[in-house]
Amino acid sequence: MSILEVHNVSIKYMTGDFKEIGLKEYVMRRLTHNYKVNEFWADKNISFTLEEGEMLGIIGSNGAGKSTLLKVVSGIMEPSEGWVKREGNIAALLELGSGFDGDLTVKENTYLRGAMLGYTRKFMDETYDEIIDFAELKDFQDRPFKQLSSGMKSRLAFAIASLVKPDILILDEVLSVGDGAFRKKSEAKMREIISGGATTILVSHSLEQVKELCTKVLWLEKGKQIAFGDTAVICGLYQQYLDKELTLAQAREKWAALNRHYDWLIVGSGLFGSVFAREAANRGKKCLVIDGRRKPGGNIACEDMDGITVHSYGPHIFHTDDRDMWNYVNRLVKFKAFDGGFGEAFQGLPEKGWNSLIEKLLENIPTVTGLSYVRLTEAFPEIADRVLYTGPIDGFFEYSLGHLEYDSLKIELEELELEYFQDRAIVIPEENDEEHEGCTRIIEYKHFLGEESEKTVVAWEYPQEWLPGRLACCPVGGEKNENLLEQYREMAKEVPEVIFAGRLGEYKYRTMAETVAAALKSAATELA
Amino acid sequence: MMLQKLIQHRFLFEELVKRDFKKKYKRTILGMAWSILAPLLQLLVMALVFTKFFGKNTPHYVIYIFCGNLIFTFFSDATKGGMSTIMGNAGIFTKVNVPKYLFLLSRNVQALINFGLILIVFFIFVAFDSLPFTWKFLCLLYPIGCLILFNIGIGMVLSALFVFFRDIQYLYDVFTMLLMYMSAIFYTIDRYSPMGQNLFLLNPVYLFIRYFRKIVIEATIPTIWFHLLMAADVAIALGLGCFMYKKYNTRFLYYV
Repeated sequence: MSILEVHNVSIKYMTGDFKEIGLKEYVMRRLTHNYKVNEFWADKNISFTLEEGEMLGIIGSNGAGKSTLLKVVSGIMEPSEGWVKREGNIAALLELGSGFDGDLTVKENTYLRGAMLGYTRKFMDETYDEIIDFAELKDFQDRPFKQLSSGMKSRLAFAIASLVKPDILILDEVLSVGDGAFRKKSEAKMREIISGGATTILVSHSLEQVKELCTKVLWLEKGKQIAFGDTAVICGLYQQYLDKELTLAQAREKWAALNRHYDWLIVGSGLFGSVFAREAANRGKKCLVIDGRRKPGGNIACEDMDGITVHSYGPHIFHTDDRDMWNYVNRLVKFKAFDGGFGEAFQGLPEKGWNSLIEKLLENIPTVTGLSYVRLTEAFPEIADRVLYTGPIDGFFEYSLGHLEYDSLKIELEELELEYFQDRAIVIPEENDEEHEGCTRIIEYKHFLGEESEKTVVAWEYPQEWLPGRLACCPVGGEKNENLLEQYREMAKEVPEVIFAGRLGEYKYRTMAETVAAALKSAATELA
Repeated sequence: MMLQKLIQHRFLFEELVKRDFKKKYKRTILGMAWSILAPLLQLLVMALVFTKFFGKNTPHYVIYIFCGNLIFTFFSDATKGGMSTIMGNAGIFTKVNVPKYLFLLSRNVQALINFGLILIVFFIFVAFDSLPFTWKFLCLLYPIGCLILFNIGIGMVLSALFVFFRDIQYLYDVFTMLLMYMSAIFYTIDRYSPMGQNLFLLNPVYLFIRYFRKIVIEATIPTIWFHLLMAADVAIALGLGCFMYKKYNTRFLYYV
């Protein structure tokens, strides 16, 4: 049974003439029909429920309506619309430092605050010493409150408030009280209360704190509910919103997308995943694409640096002798021929960069980036009937048998105040360059698309040992890795609804054209 | 309902009373003495100035003024103090869910204590003026009780209005001054026509003063109609106050 239920709560504030004008002016304006009142919804249609022992984090920018919502939940305010149902007693610790009386002594204020929080006199008599000790204000007991520093004030406030033993506890920014030492003490105390089983609502500007403590998250923005549910997923979206990678509308859309059911979940938005998703969508299947990286596209993802399209994970050129594959990609976006020296009939790359190809492939297909498969399935275990997993197969099984090995590259990007650094896109450096010792290739990106800019971006590539977390390029292969792969494939048979595909999912290197071909073939079989 | 809540919040109520008491008297004996001294000085000046005009025809003129002063001081102290109770405690009720009338009640308790102190001085004056203490003095409990409730009612109305209209403070100052002149504190009303004298009964504060004078100076108990009229005034003030608190209870927050 839910301990707290907030149903469609809206709170209306009024702004306009009424404040500060006084009775005389009010009467005058009323008589002259000049009286104006504007309505302002501090919160609109907020709904959520909490079960016993859950901890809810409320996130959102300033003015999102968080504090107002807390006031309604705690019963200080009545909602203009909707209702709140509470089981058990509730304690709200809102803006702790204020509301004391400067003329009274510390001791008197302690009792007064205790009384406000609903403690009994007996309880206060018993715990007063404990409070003062905790707040470290023993020597200040009989001083007028106004003589305390603001840090001392909030310490006292916290010490009193933290004695509550409610069923529902509401904390508004109270975990960030006092200096370093006291802060630690107060956090420990807070955790003690929370672990006591109280259902807790926490408003915090520290996203880390919310991620660490909360089991659920409510995201508000300008009074509107953007999302309510799984902490990791919502915090991920919120972080992308804060980093301006997502607009509010997009974040909302993505959250809504996550709350639907799909025929196919495609993990990884690289070339394989994106082609498969396009094919599935074209066949009328409902698909959701997710990617652990913040940007879609896998290793072909590009970024723009001063008008130069830079391949973030090393240069990619589409090359093939297969006319069908060349036509397939050219139907999607316009390609520019580029001789990469592969000696094949069709060589080139999209005129507007690889991102444009991925965008076209994923057009109208809900895509959530910055979200790993593990996080998604923890939050939405039943989200899709079938899964196409293009992530690393060993990663799917949490590397339980060990890591498959890859080649890896370290890429050093440098923006230079030159028009051109070299006359070609790719140059194998001479051996005696001391500054770039060990560099195997130098790539100057503006050559690929013939982009014009006063600056240029150059990448130095260094082979490096692959370690988990580093950029994975080609599978190394070899007997050891093949044996390990075989064992993982055995394990994969236990999850028949998941298809492992792509370079990482199959542990197999393919050119881009081969990847497209493989994705199309896989789509033809699986989606028939 | 209200009483139940009051019991539930007894500890808070006690602490609020203590707070108001300490703030008023600033923890000094002089602070307390001053709160008695001020009305006494007022009484002294009035007696000095007006005895010449009204004193000759009015028996026990000092007590006559004192009755008026006593009641009026209580009324204006309680209502003026009560007016700011919601605004003044906004820091509390915007953070903790407590009944808002607690603040008003605690302020009224403080005014009552002040009244009690002056009342003692009043009785000493009565004794010096060789007026007899009779059992009828017990009847004074009725107007005192009524006045307490009346003050609470008016205090509720004012404190609610003060949230919405900050200039009520000044308007009310003007109003109380006018009211004081209309309450026959230092003059007698027997020169007015019977109709004019009846108009004075419309002033609730005058009713309380008149009641005190009847018992203390004339040693007569007012009529039953007088009692009922007083009760009706109290009912109206209290009813209006409760209505405003009920209606605006959840809206105060938007304005403070």
